Amino acid sequence: MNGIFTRKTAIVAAVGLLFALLPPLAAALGQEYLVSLFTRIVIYAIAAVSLDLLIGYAGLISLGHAAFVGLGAYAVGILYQHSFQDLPLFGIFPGSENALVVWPLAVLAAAVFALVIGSLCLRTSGMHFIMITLAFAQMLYYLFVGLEAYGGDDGLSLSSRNTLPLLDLGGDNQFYYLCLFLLAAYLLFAHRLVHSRFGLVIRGASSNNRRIQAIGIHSTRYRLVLFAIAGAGGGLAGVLLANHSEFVSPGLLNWTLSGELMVMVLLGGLGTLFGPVLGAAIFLLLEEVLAMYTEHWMVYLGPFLVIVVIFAKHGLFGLLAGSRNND
Amino acid sequence: MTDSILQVRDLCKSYGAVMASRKLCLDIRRGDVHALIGPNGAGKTTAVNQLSGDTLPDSGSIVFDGSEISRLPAYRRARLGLARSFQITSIFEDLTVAENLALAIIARTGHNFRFWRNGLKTPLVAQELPEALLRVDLDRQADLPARHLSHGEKRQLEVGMALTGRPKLLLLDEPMAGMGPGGTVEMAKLIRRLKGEITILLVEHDMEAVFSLADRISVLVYGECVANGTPDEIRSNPTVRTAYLGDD
Repeated sequence: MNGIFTRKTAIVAAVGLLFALLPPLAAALGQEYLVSLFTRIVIYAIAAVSLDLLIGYAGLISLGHAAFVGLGAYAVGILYQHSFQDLPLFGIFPGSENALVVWPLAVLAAAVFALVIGSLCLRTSGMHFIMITLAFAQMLYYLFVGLEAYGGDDGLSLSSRNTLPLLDLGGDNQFYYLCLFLLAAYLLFAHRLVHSRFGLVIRGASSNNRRIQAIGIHSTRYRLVLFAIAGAGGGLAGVLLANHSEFVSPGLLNWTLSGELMVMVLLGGLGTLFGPVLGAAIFLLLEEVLAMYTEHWMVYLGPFLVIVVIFAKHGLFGLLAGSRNND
Repeated sequence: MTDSILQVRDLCKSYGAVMASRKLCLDIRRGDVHALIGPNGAGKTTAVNQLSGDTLPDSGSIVFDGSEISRLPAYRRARLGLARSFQITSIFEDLTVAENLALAIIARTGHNFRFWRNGLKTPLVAQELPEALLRVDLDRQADLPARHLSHGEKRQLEVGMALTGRPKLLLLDEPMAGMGPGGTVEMAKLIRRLKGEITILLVEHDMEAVFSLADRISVLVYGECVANGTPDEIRSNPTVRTAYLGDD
């Protein structure tokens, strides 16, 4: 609104540049493991941004976002296993390792699952919404814990990443840049989304749902579509996580991941799109650093989170950029 | 009866033992400013909520512009051309003034599953927004979050949003409540300007305003309509005098 050179754009540009230059930087420092760490940051950022669409923009406090992440990851794992063992899924679908097939399918599965549980969850609001989203996610968690065909408790190991023409996803740098590109694309999409007509309706319904009905808009349908869009974002993050670690486990469906994503959103800045990216970075970097000193690193993260939540309404991003602009 | 835009017949609504609407009947003629008055607790707001669809009646019928609406949800009634303001100002506090009005503009298009183009720049909004801002005198505050407006300005914005939907009938629930004398005058001016263009049902405590603005007045006592008529008829109606205007 007030020109290109605001503190906000400066921060986004600086962080963006850091992300873009990370692989050569890491190589120069001789710290190649940083690429892997930042890949995780970028992937978690996608999940956190998609969760923030729900919490920060639609006022829908979902505590079941891990369900979408886990579903995306399991779609990759299951299709990989069927392809690997040459055993058709449901007797017809042969399974696949091709990212062009698997990834859209996985994201679609997450979005469809979001549509289904969303149509039930969105009948409730407030505390009930939190609990019912949590309940659905936990149901999925226990389903996969019990699913021995796909590893049950132990999860599934992939012996390689999915394949993509022209790119070698097995190469850490190439995979990192692909993740970064997808994060940027999702951010751009989300940015357009929250300012579009659809976004106006979503934010309006969050601000005053009675008023939006009174001017003639049935907000539930919009919320449901947003729920699916956020679910797809979670699914995409799951797809990338599965490929990154070449491992899928029920832990990706557990509520602890939902909670961590929520912490990232709150740390970085609720209702800002770039905030969750910062939140994911800070959360995972703190974890990395603190875990070197103590396994009880959460003891330090907790008070830090409390301070941020009390003193910065729009999180660290709001604090850095000035909380007047929230996107 | 052909020129009546709203016909309410035998509307009943009770909350436990309290009957907030008791076989309420009401006719509003097209183009009128129709005032609904009555002592506190007479069921005025309950009546308006049933008309707008925020509350569903227990029984009775509401015919608006030829169609029965008493069972429709609020958003469907709004699309038929029924707009309202709330007793306690109800706007989108977290959105800017321009976004508030833009929402009201796009609300009547039926669906807004448009994910990419900036909502404020869609042709429909770009075309109507400047005028909508001017009409409520808020063009200079367009980019301000609505929560930063003064109480009077919020009130104006709310009425502006209701008007932007090009309603056939506007329900104003105590639009002057909590406004200073200046605000009351402004609101009266706005209503007078709308007179003839839009049919208005006005619930208001400010008797001076009611008697100067209204074409017809209905008096509600204990959920029942005890009198209908022009301001002069109401002023001289003995039932009304004892029930409401009292020692006047």
